[in-house]
Amino acid sequence: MALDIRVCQFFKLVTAPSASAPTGVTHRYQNYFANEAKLFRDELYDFAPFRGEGSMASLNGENEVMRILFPNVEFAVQLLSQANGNRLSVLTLTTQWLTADNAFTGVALPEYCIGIGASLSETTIELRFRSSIDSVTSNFPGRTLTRELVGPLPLDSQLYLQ
Amino acid sequence: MASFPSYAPSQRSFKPGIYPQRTYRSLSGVVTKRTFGNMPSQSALDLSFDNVDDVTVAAIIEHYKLQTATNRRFNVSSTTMGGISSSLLALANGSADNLRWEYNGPPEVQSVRPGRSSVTVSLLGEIRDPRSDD
Repeated sequence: MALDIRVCQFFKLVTAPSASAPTGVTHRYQNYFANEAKLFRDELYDFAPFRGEGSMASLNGENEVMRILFPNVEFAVQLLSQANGNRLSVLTLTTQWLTADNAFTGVALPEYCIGIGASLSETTIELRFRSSIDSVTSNFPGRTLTRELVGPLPLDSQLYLQ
Repeated sequence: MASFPSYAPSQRSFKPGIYPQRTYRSLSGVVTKRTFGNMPSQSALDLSFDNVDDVTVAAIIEHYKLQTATNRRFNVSSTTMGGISSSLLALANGSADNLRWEYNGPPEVQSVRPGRSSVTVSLLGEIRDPRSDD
């Protein structure tokens, strides 16, 4: 008998709070049981043919990008519009290993990510995330240049980051 | 959804669906299989209608155009699957695996004599989409 690997990914995304949804909107999908709503940890996950790409974590805390690819269909577009282009949405992606009979094993790996944007093509919607818990490095927490931090800049200035 | 026109084919061949699996073979020869889903798909049903009148051919081509233009899948009738015993019927027509049929390509028509043609049809069984398929 060949070694058998069966993996189901459970995608739970909570959109960033907005005026219309102060606590965000929750979307739940799984990608293994075709056209089936699956109960996982007391929550129901609809089927969606998505896949994940990219790294979840690295030793040096580079916080690399992880991508989730959906087909460019109506429900995935809704996912994007309700999540404000996937900005600051909160993703819990749980990888659940299955037995040969498609039952859940005791092994599951949850990953927590923050939405950093999305892109669209004619066939695919790509949601981009970075890990929300990352390795601690010398510049932790990472800071973003804002107008308040930098102040007004002349148009031809050069900025050196040290 | 419109079923495939109810004509009995002269020849019929069937191939069950395949499970979404990818095989990896290590240097030691050990094989690992990764399964991506719980249902088979891409089953195949090839039908030939020999020396039928052109009205039948036109009906098949019209069905092909309609289903392909609207991107809808369909069932095959008991007439199309005639002669298959009940133990095999659900496996052959895709209902056991919740499959629906779509055209793998346009029907191929060969003229035989005035008003008579032969047509071959290749169908592909894909997992039923509950949002659009019957």
